[in-house]
Amino acid sequence: MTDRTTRPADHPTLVLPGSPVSRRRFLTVLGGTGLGLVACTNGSGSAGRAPAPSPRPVAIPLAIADAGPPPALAAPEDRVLVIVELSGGNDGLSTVVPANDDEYRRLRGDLALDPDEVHWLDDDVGLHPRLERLARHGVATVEGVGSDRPDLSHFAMEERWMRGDVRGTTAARDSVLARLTAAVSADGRPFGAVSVSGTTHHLSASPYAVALSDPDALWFLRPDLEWPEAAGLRGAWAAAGSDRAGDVLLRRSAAQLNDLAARLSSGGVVDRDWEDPLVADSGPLGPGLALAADLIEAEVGVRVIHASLGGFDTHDGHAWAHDDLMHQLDLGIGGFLDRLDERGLAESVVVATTSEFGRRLRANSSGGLDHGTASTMLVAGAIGSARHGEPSSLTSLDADDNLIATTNFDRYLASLGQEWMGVDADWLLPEAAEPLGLWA
Amino acid sequence: MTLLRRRIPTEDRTDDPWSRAARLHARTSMAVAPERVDELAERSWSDAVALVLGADDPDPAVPEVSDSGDGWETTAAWWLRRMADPDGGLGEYMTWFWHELLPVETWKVDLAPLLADYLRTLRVHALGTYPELLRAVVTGGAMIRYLDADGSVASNPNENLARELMELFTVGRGHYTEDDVKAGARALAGWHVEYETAEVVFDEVDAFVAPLIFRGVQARWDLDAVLDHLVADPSTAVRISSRLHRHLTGVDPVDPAELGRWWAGTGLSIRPLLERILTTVDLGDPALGRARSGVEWWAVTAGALGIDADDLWQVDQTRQRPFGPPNVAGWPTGAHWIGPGPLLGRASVVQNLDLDRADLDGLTAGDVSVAIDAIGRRLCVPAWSDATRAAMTTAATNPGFGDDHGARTRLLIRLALLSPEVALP
Repeated sequence: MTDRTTRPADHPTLVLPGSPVSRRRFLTVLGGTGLGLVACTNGSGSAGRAPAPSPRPVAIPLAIADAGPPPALAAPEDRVLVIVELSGGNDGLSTVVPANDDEYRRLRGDLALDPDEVHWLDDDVGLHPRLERLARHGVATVEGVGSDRPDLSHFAMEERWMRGDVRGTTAARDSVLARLTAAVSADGRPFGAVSVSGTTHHLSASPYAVALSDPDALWFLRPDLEWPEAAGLRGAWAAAGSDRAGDVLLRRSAAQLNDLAARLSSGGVVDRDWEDPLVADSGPLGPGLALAADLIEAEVGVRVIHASLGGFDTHDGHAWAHDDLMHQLDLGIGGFLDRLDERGLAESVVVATTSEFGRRLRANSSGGLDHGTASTMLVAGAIGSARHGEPSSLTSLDADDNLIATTNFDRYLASLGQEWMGVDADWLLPEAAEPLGLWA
Repeated sequence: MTLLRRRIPTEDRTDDPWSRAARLHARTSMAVAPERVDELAERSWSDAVALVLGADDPDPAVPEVSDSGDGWETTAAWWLRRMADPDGGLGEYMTWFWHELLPVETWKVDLAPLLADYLRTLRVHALGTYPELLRAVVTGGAMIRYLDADGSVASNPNENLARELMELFTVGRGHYTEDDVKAGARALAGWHVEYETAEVVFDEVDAFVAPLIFRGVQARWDLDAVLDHLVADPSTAVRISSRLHRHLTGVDPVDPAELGRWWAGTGLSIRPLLERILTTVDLGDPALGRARSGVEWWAVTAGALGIDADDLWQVDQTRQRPFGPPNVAGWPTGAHWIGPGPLLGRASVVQNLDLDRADLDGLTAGDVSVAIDAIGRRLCVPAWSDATRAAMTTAATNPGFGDDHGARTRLLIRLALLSPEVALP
């Protein structure tokens, strides 16, 4: 393994063409694909113009500027973490259900799920009836996860989860996933993470990540695209513009896409199969997770993947809305786990859910559940089926009638980062957080 | 059609009147038109701003739609055609801004007439006052359904509208408590949308009529009183004026509190705020700028090339469409739009553009540099950077093009649409 302690000094900033960079560093930054790079960097005006001067050197601060040297890895380098963000605030009690609990049945009334339909994990809780595939594969649950100083704003809690900032007390900081990716990215690779669901900000600021909106658009990156202009476009877009900060970022985006194209091509991933059931019939998570499976199999250096599923903000008509969401979750993650099994990859991949908060215990007049606090996370793949954390009390509530978290969510992130990926939690998170022993 | 009246300078010169005018135009209009920039360039900055601000209110005649499955598409298509009209000016620009701030979404608002009503409301008030705009939006059926106030009963109210009204539409975080959310939810109960007629009705039986304490004041609170109270709070003026400032300039105001105080003095009137921002910030400064969002970029593309603006499939590839926000906070802003995901989406759009049907008049003649200048003018690019010009020149001198200036121009247009100059006006 390379000596990681030297890495930050090696590239404290990204430097774009025009500055005296070494060829190796230059290829690292721009992806090393060679796609159109000659045309771009020489800027040779073949229409009789003098060569255009390259843009002046521009330094982009790295996202992990404040992080210090990434620690040595304490886990095998083939491990992959797939985060599935349940956006809007997923109701933990409807996911891992204490279906026979009298207090649960009383508080939830019409929304209480049928004990005969849940997939029992033990005598106390069962998985939601629609989580059939997950029940078959087996999952670990992490219960009572939230913050000991909760906030009921989506956006405040999303931000806290993103930074691992459990009480919202830390100033602007890189996302946990960006740090994790920086720590596990192999040398010489400009990214080790892919977001397959677009609008996330977990990874969008990281120079080590590519936030794709939608795998459907990947066809544009095909090296053999039957559209000769594409190569010209892909060459030009990584070279255009001035030294404005935004222009620099846009060139970086273009260079990342060119790099992705090369890696997809070298891994044989570029041909998307639209008939693939995981792409075509497995709900909104399916296409992104199908791409994730291909990226993992291709061994192109991607070790952190982020996907998201929206719609969990069930203020109205929780019963049917959440039922459908659980089905979508099951189709997506279940199909992904099937795919990993088929390809013999199941031992090296963990899928873990996150969600900004859980939901209120009692329903409102719309048959919905307003914003809550603690929730339950699911971890599947290379992990034993077991229950972790501790369920929140249904009788002792906080001042807003919400569940009291038993397990701060930074401990959950510490487990995923340190226990699974081998990156020191103290480096990943703003405050000390003890891992939960999910793989103990 | 378009005669080349001037060469766009290669070097980015902020003192060039046309470049300054192009920046003003790009940040106050969805689609762009070089003739409009010519008009602005002949004026002093304050006269140019006055011309921009003299825009008519946007056309409020949103077509009636029936409650059919694709009614929202009819409304969105109509709107996109308006946005791609370069004469839409400030009215279209502000209509889209308000949609980003006060969004609704088709899946939850499943009645097309409500969306048409909502759009009419945005357009009527786009250049009016914020209190009137907010009241009209929040009491409209679309927002009532989108934020789940439809059918909320005061004895056990739905909190969604009350919370997001305070967090996102008015005072912002730190200026309300969870008790205010609960009390606000009660005060906002009693509203329904009649599904058959799409009418909004208030049913006192479901409302809370006794006094309650909201934001520390005991009174008989109802929707009107809550809105009056929230828009009168100084933090509302600060938040909304700062947001508009960022939208126009890409940066925060130097003194947000001062701008908010000043704006509150106008009764939160929108045209004066626009004038204030446009005359105190030098939009001609090329260092300022904000990435165009997906729909803004599409309006420029469709408008400048004269292609069908209402191709919803193409619009969707930009990662943004009318009535399609990811959540109640609207779409991500800023650098998101120059990230790899949206860039790849725009590349997909660009490849699929039917340029055989586009207006390429005046864009094909002459040598490569003339064509590049003509395309820059058409897209109201203040000036091509040297690197962009070089990249376009290299790509366009592909020997395969031979004398096929049409093919050459089509490639140049695609490159131009993906350039930083168009992405970040």
